[in-house]
Amino acid sequence: MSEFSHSPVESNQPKISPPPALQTYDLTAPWKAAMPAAQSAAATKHFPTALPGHFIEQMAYEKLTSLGFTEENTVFSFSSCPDELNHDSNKEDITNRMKQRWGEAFPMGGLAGIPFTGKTGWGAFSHHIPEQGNILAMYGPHVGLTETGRVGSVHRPGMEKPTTACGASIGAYGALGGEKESRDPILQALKKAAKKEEKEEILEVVEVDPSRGLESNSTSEAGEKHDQQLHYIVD
Amino acid sequence: MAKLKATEDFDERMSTLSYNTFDISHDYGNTVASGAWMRHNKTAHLYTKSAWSWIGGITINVDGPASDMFLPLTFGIEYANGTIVDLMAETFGEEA
Repeated sequence: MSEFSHSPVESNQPKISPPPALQTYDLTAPWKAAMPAAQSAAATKHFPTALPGHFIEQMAYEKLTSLGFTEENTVFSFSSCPDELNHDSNKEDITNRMKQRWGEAFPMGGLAGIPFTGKTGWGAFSHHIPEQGNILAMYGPHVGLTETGRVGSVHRPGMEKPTTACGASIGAYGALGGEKESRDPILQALKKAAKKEEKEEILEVVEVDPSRGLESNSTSEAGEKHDQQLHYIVD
Repeated sequence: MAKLKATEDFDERMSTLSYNTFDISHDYGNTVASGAWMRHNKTAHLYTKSAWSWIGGITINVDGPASDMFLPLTFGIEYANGTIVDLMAETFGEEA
C-alpha cells in the first residue's frame, strides 16, 4: 500500500457537535421582580419600552426567520461598545446571543457604539455576504443603571463604588464642556473620573508612553487627533 | 448639547446623553451602511433575493440580579429592490 493512499481509519479527532439551540424565553414572564423599586422606576421613567436584552433578541430572531433569514444565509455585524459589561453573558447579552444565533460576526466599532470602521469596514464586510444572502446589523450605545436608580453609573464586579457607563460617551460629553458649570459634587467627581478614564483610553489607543503625559508637547499630536475625531462625530 | 445643558436633573441628563449618543451612532451609521452592495457587482455575485436588516437601540447595564435590558429604537429591513420596511411596531408593539 502506498504511503500516500488513504484508507478509512477511525479518526481520533473528537467529533464537532453543532452548538446547542439557544434557550428560549417565555416573553410574557414577569422580569421586573428582580429589580429594586427605585431601579425599576428609573427604568420605566427613562427607558419605558426597554425589555431584557435576550427578550429583544428572541423577538428580532423570530421576525427575521419569518422573513427568510437563516444562520446559513445571514452574516451578522455589530457596533457595540467594547465595555466588558456588554459581553459578559452568553445567555443574556443581546450582542453575545446574536453572535451565537447567526454564527459569524463582523465588529464595526466602537467606543460608545459608534461604527468607527466606517465605509471601509462596511465595504469590506459587505463583500463577505454569501450569494442571495443577508446582513443583520446591530448597533447602539449603552448606559448604566444602579440599584438606587442612578442613570449613567454601574457597579462592576469587585468594585465597591459605581463607575460611569458609558465612560467614553460621558468622557466625550465632559471634554466638550458638558458639565463645566455644575456645582454638583457628584457631577464633578463623575467628570473627573470620566476624564481620567478617557485619558487612559486615548493613551492606550495611540500607544503613547503614559509617563510622558497627555498634555505635554510631546503628545500633543495624539490629543489633536482625538479632538478632530470627536468634532467630526458630533458635527 | 443645548438640551443636555438645559436639563437640571442629573439622571435625566445622563439618559438624554445616551439617547443623543444613539443619535450620533445612528446618523454616522447611515453615512456608512447601505443596501448598495445588493445592487452592484451583479455579474460577480447574485444578490437579487438578498436583504439587510438593522436593529439599533440602547443597552442598559442593570446593576444587581436583573438582566441587562435593551431599548429598541429602530428595526427595519431593506430588500434588494430598494423597498424598506419598518419592523418596529409589528415586532415590539405599537408603543415601541
